[in-house]
Amino acid sequence: MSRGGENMKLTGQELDSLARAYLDSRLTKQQEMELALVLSESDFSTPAIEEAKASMALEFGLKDSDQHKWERRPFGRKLRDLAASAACVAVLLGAVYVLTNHGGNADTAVIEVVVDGRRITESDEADLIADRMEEECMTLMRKTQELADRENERCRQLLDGLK
Amino acid sequence: MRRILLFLISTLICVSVYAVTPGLAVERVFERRDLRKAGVSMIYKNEPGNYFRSIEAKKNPELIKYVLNLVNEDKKRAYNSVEVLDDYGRSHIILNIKHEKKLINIGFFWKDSGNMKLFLQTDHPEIFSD
Repeated sequence: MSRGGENMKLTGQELDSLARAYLDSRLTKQQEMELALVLSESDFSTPAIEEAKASMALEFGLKDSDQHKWERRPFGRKLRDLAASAACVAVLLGAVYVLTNHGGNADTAVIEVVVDGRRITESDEADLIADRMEEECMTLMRKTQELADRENERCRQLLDGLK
Repeated sequence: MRRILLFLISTLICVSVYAVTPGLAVERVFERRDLRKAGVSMIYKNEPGNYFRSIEAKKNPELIKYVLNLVNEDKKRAYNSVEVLDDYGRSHIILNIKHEKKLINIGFFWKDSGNMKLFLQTDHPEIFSD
């Protein structure tokens, strides 16, 4: 018995005989496994071959083998699977882009101002209020740091005076 | 095919987790719709190279208490924090937090009278998704 391209040399009649031998338990375990591989790639069909295939499917689980499914898939189906995979990759890349760029909203300025529950819709006024508030906050932040530095320096001088 | 899909979904989940916002506690106060009322001003500014949010309130001690808890929560993540009480009785807290090696500044200033200012600022707007 042979595998791959060489199994094409076996005629349907020979395969049928081997299938019968298998069903009669006249083959060794090694021969049974080889026959299972040959039959899984063969298009010949007789009642004995079909029965042997069914029995082998239970015994060796050949019908569930992904490898054999893939080998027997027609070209169109392979192409469809590849297209589906490509689409998945495209969706993934799109999602990565959106997630890492957050919709790309950093390219345009967005300013929203709400004062006393009222939304300021006039853009110039909103810009002015927002700029003023930001400036105030940044000034306060600098002032906080300066105050802390000054206090730190004062304490250091006090400690130096104690030495 | 199922394996490919599983791999893609797993990758997507990993990227999503990596790409999430810093999840700062103070962000919560800016999402509160109930604060859009008299005595409260809210600013949102998102422009290239600058992201700034602030909230200013007058005579609102409850809000000060709420915000102070959030700021203290974020203080645990800060690599630098400065706390000062100035000559005018105003308390200052400044936090410098790093998220993905990018600096985020948080400032909170308040007086016992109930007046307060809170801001959140970074030069990297891309780290916040709004």
